[in-house]
Amino acid sequence: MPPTTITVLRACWRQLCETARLAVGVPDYGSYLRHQRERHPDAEPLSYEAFFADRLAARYARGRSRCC
Amino acid sequence: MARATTNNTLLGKLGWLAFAVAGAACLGVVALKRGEPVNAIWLVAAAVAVLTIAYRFYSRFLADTALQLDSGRATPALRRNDGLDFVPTNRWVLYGHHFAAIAGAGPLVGPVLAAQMGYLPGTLWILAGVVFAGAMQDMIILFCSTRRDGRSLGEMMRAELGNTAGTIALLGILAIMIILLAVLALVVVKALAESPWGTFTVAATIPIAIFMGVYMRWLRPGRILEASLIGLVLLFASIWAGGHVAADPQWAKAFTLDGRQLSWLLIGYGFVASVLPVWFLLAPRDYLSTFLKIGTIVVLALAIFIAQPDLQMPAVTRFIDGSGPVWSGNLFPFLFVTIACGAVSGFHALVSSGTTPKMVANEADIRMIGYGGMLMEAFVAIMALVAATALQPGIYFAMNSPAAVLGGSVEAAAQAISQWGFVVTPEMLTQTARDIGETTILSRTGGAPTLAVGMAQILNEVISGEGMMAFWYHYAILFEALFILTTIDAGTRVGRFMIQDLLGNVHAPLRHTESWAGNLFATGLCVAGWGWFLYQGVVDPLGGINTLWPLFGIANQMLAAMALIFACTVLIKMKRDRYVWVAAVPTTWLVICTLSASWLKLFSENPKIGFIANAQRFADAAARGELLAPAKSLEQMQRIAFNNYLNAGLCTLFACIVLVILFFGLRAAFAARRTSTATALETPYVAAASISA
Repeated sequence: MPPTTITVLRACWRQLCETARLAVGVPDYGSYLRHQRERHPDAEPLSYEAFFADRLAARYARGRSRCC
Repeated sequence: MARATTNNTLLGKLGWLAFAVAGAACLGVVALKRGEPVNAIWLVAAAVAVLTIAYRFYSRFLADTALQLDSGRATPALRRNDGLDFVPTNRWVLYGHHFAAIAGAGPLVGPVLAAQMGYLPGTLWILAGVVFAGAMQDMIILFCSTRRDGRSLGEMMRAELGNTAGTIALLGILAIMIILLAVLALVVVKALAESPWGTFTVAATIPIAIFMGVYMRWLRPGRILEASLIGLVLLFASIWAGGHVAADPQWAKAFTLDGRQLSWLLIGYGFVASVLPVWFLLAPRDYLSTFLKIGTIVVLALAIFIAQPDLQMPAVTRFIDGSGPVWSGNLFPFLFVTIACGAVSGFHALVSSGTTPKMVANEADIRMIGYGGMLMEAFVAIMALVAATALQPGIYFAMNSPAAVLGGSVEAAAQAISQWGFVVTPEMLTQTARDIGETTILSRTGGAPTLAVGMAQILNEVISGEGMMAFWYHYAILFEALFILTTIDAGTRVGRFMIQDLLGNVHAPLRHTESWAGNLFATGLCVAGWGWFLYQGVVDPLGGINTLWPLFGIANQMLAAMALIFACTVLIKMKRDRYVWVAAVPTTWLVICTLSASWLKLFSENPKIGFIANAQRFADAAARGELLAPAKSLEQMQRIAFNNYLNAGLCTLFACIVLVILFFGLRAAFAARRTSTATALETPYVAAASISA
C-alpha cells in the first residue's frame, strides 16, 4: 500500500512522542514488549505503569550526570 | 553507497563550493563591517554555514578515517539489549535524547557574559571551539564509551590510565559539580532578587510540579504528555498571575526577597528536593523544564529569523584589554573560559558516557549524535549571543556591571556608562525596567536577566501588544530558572551519591544509599559545599558572577582537558598515532587555557583578577583596622579574605588535577608506543550481522 499523507503524519507523530519520552528518560514501551516477547516469552512483561515507574527510578539512580 | 556517489559528482562538489563561498561572505560581513549595525541574520547564516561544512567534511573525516566507525560492529545496545537500559534506538530519537541531556544553562549564560568584548570574539571562539574541540570531544567520548559497554568516563579512565588517575578524575568531577551548582544557583538568585514577579512564578513551579507528580503517580500513572500539558498551562497561568502579584503592594512585598534570603531558600530547597522521592518533585519538574527548554530554543530560533534584529553591540569593544565591568581579564585566556559550554564543555563527556552510548543502534550513528548534537548546542550559544548583542550596549552594561561601578541611581549609571563610550540616558534605563515589569535593571548580573530582556525584545517583535514585553521577559526568566533548578536538585542528588561513594572508602556503612543517615549526611555535605560558594557569591563586592564564573569555566575546561587527554591516549593505544592530532591539538589548547587562566586567577597582582592579591588586600586592610566595601565589620573582612584564599585553593586543585592526569596520560601513551599491538581495552568484536534484531 502506498503511504498516504495520513500514515506519514501518524508515523511522524509517533516518532515525535517517542523522542519526547526518551528525552525524559522513558524508552519505547513497544520495543520493550517486543523484546520481552522474543527473548523472554515465559516471563510476564511489566505493565506500562510498572515500566514507567522502573524507568523513573533508573533515571535518577546513582551516577547520572547532567549538563550545565 | 548511492548517496556517497552523488556527493562526489561534480555537481555535488560545486554545490558545496558555492555553499562555502556564501558562508565565507556572511562571515566576512560579520567580521569586517564596522561603524553601522550588522543584521543578526548574517551572523546566524555564517554560523550555520560553518557548522554545516564542519559536519559534512570534518566529522566525516573523524568518522571514516580517524576513528574508523564500523557499522558492522555490534553496539552494546545490540549485544546487551534488555529493552530497558540497552535499547537500539532510532538515531533521530536518540539525537533528541542526547541533545536534551547536554543542553543546559551554560551555553545561554557564557555567551551573554562574553558579549562585553563585542560579538565577534565570542562568535569566532564558539565556532572554532565547537568544530575542533567541543563536538570532537563529545563524539570521541561517545565512541570510546560505545566500544566499552557504555562505561562512564571515570570508569574508562580508571581502566586505560590506571586506578590513581581514575580516582583523581572522580575527585575533579565532584569539585566541578559543586562549583557548577553554586554558580547556577547564583544565576537564579541574581535573576530573582528584588523581583516579586519572577520569584512568584518560579515559586509556583513547585506546587505545579508536585501536582504533576501526584497526577503521574496516582491519578493517571505514566501519562507524561497529559501531565506536561497541564503543567505548561499552569506555568503560563502563573506568569500571568505573577504580573498581578507584582502590581499588588502587599503581595509584592511578600515576594520581594534579597539575595541572601533567596540563597538560603535555594539551599533549603536543594536539600529537600533531592532527598524527597524523585517522582514527587524532581522528575515532574525535570519533564517540564526539558520540554520548555526544547520548545523555547525552537521558538527563539524562529523568532530570530522573523524579527531579524540588528546587532547593536560593536564587533569588538574596548574591553578586550581586560578592563571590562562584567568580568575582569584579557581576551586570552579569559574569553576561552567564559564561554565553555557552547564551544567545548567537559560536562558533555559525562553525558556522552552516560545513557546515550547504551542506546546507539549502529556505530555509524555516533557521528550524527555526538558531533551533530554538540553543533546544535553551539547554535544555541550563537542565539544567546545574538539576543545579548541585539540589546543597546548601554542597557547591556547597565544590567551586567556591579553596583559598585555604576553607583546607586539611573543618573549615575547612565553617566558611568556614557564615560565608557556607550550612549544611554537615565530615561532609557527607567523605561526598559518599566517595559519588562521590573523596578530596576541596574546590576541585574548573571546573564539570565540580560538574555531575558534580549529574548523579550526579539519575541516582542513577533508577538507584541500591551504588556507583552513584560510577559516575555518573565517567560524567559522562568525558562532559565526552571531548568537551572532542575540541575540543582538533580545535581545535588548526583553529588550526594559521589560523596557517599568516596566516604564509603573511609566508613563503609555511609555507602548505603538506602540508609537515611547516610543520605541526609551526604546530601547535607553536598548542599553545604555549593551553598558556601553561593553565599560567598551573593555577598561578593564584585557581584559574585565576576568571581565564580571564571572558576566554573576553568573547572569545566579542566574536565574537557581530562576527557581529551584520555581520548589522545586511547587513539595511541589503538595504534592510530597518525590521527592523534585530532585530539592532541584541542587538548594542548585547553591545557594552555586552563593553566594560564588558573595562573592569572592565582598570581595576578590586579585584585580584580587574582584571588591571592584580593585576599591580601582585604587581610591587609583588616590588619590596619580599615573597612573595605562591602564588608561592614572586621569579621566580614576576614571572611572575604578567607573566601578568596579558598577560591585560590580550588583553582590550584583544578590545575593540579589537569597536570596529574596529563602525567598519567603521557605515561600510558608512551607505554602503548613501546608495544607493537593495539592495547586499547575495548569489548571484543562481535559482528552486528550475527545478532538478530
